Amino acid sequence: MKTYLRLLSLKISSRLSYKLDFFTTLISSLLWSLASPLFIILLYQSGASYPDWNFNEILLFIGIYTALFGLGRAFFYNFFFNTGADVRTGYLELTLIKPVDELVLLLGKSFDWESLSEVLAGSLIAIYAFIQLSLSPNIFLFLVYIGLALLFYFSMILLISSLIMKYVQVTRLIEIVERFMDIASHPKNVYPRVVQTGFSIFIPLFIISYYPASALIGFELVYPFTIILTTLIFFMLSLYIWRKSIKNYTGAGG
Amino acid sequence: MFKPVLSIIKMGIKEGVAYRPQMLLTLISFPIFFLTQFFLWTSIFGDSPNTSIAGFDLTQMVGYYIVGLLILVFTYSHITTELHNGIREGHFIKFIIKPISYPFFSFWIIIGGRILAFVMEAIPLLFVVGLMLGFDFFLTPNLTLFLISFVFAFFINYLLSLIMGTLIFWFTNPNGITWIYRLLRYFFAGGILPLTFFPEIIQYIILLTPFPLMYFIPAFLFVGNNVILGIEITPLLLLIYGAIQLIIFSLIAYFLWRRGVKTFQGVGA
Repeated sequence: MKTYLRLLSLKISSRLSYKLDFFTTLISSLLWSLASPLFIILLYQSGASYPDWNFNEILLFIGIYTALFGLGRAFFYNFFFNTGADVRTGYLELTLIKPVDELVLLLGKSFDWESLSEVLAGSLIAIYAFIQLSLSPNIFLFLVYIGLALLFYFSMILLISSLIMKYVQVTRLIEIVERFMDIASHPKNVYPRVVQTGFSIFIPLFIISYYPASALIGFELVYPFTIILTTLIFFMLSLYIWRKSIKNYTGAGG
Repeated sequence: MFKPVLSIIKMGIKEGVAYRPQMLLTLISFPIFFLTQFFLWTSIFGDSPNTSIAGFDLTQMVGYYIVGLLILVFTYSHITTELHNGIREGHFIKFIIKPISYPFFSFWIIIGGRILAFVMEAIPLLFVVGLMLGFDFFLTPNLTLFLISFVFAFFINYLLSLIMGTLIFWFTNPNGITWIYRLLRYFFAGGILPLTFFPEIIQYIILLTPFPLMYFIPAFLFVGNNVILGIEITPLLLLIYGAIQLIIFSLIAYFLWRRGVKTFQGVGA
């Protein structure tokens, strides 16, 4: 943990050496996070809506999604690109011989401070919608789902990072994760039942936003505990594949 | 003139061949995108008492995003990143001593890359779209208008990418500004929602920018719409609108390029 925090502080120091870039990236991250709420506002203003979701409920949903997406970007997103870059340059070999877990080093190096503005924007939207709705939520379940959502995001990044170690030049693998995140950016009930079940039981994609939002709103949840178990299994599997990839890694650059 | 151009296009194709697995990944990500849009809008239209939302019916709405994505594939330009890396790492200097200009070279490299993308990405994607929406989908009533707007989309995208690339001549790290540009492009080009969802005054303002030509206008025309804000888009109107944008941004790109190259000092070469 100490190493991780030290890397985080080094990261902010190095980012602040390009102040203009840091602040413009911060502003752009903040504005990017407004894309989904803008979609909702324009959609509802046109008279259309998501089935069974009123405006404030969907705003709460999208606020949680935006905050979680921001957290995922801050903590894990660059992990994939840094792993790919380190494989290409041969720097990964240096990371692997250090007496610290490679996950800690790569995660610390990958932290993206600017994405915290997305977390802020998402949280403010969610808090606003929450106040408007005057709910009595299941906070404990909500927090469990939030933790698992981050774990699932990390699992997806770990999986594609394992692949980039083997296939090196496939940076567009991140697009697959982004497409999956697009699916999670809409409520589960817009999809056919088979998709709903598949992404709740087999690949726990709806843990990203639907489950935490539903725990707050009080919607009846299908498979509320199965999805917890599936997320944990998914994470264990990703970690196993990552460790196996590291073990089999023979170097590509350097 | 023709021979060097052909050689550069071949180079662009060869460069693209090295990234074959990258292109093939589109064949996974595109159907996911397509199905997400399809399910989303089917559900929204199913819940709506109207068959039309902001001037689009269900097929047009799904088609809008699909055509938009295909336009992005066809008009993709990596010149901003290439130029930033080239100057940061110093290998841009070789273009200073070559009898060929970088904008000219990169333009034909992009053409080469897009030819390959057409074969490897677009044809399979068009086939997938045809299977899912029916091949009648491609029989657009606005083919001439679409083709004109598509050509403009390609050139405007290239020029704006070049303009964003020139920022590296003055800023050590212009990534943040580049992200703000991408954001504006996404918001104002109709990437979030078709521009007809925006209030009228905002639509007027956005239409004064170059962004709608890069996504919204070609996709809007392709799905069979041709009236925006009560104005009918005719070939002549589109030609004038596109030509004005093209002249303005060509001049800006030319001016910035000339000034930038004069400033360039070749650090890191």
